[in-house]
Amino acid sequence: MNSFNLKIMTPEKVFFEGETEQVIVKTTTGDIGICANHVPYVANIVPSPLKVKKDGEFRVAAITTGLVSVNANEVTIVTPAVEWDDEIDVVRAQKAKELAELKIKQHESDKEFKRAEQKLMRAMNRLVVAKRR
Amino acid sequence: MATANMKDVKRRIKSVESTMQITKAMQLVASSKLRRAKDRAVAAQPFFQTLYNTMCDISADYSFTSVFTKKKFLNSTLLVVIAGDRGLAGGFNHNVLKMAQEEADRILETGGTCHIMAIGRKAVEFFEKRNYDLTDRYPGIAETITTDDMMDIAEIIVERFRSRDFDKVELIYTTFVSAMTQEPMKLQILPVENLDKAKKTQAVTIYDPSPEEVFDGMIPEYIGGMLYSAILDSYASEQASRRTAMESATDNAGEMIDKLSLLYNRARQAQITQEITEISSASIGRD
Repeated sequence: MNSFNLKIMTPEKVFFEGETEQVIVKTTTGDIGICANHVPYVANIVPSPLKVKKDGEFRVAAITTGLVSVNANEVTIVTPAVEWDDEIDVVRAQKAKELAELKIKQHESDKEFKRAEQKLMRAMNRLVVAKRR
Repeated sequence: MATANMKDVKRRIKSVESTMQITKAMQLVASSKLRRAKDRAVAAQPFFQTLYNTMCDISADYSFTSVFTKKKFLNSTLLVVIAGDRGLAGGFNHNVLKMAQEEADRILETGGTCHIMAIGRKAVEFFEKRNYDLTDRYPGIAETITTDDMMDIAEIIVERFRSRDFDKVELIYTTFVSAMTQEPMKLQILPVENLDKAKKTQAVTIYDPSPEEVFDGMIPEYIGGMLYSAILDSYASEQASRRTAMESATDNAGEMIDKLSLLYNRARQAQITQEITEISSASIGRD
């Protein structure tokens, strides 16, 4: 199977770099799967499971937000936070989820509500990815 | 009289010595923290560079407009001021806070409004004491900053910019020039300016769903990345500044000890000489 070079970067480190056969991630317009020789493409990522296929097997990570860009058989993903399914801090995600739910219930202001909603999405995504393992 | 003086000098030497131990320890801690902070600042570079390049590409590829690049004339500014959490770092906190205050005064004098977001305990304390509109406080986050913290702050800024609480965001922090020099600087982060419009990629790129939306969607990450590097930069500067300050304090303590030891030895010698004179004159008297 044809492969391409995938690079995933966070502000802290280069999270992943290497030859990959396929990468699946959710963008603002829906799930997208990228294989080798994809046309140049740029989109924003939303909290979702990120699947990276290597040697015929998928590895799953929880990604928050960010950007995916394809250029000349090179795929670059930049994101503030991403963790492999076995690295996720389930306790912390659970706590973040409960706090966000509380904030949503209180509904102090529209801004607070919106931010809590985003936090809830991130926490839920982490829990879903961790559970699927 | 000589004995009393000797005791005093001895006590002073002891106290200077213990101060020197503290400054020496602080110097060592600061230099190891500086090394770590520099590594983190370097690691954050590729993340930010990729975002910046993509934004440049978008603005070069299309004649697009975005709320984040438009200049508006509300004349309302948010100053994001980054200072340290602790003192004893030479002129580090003073320099950056002075610059921030001058900038705030300048904005107010020209009839604009100025909100302040203070990052670092010293910045919070500084603006709380004075009569400025301090809207957000983030004390004590620099040392252990996570990407979650940074995105939180970035989202608040973007949200408020969108709802027109202000139409300009400026960042004031200290940049690490070298281990010896750290300079306070001012950087405009919103509206986004100075994007390099030279085309980097040849191929026509698909932006999903549209260049404008991708650009706007990247803004929180872009600001987060900028804040993150600024906070790390400022933290590295703080450590470098503290290291220099503590190094000269240690040197000064060393000099003081040398001077005091000289004084002590002189007093001791004078006492011995006096004792000998007393003994010999007593024995002469008996002969």
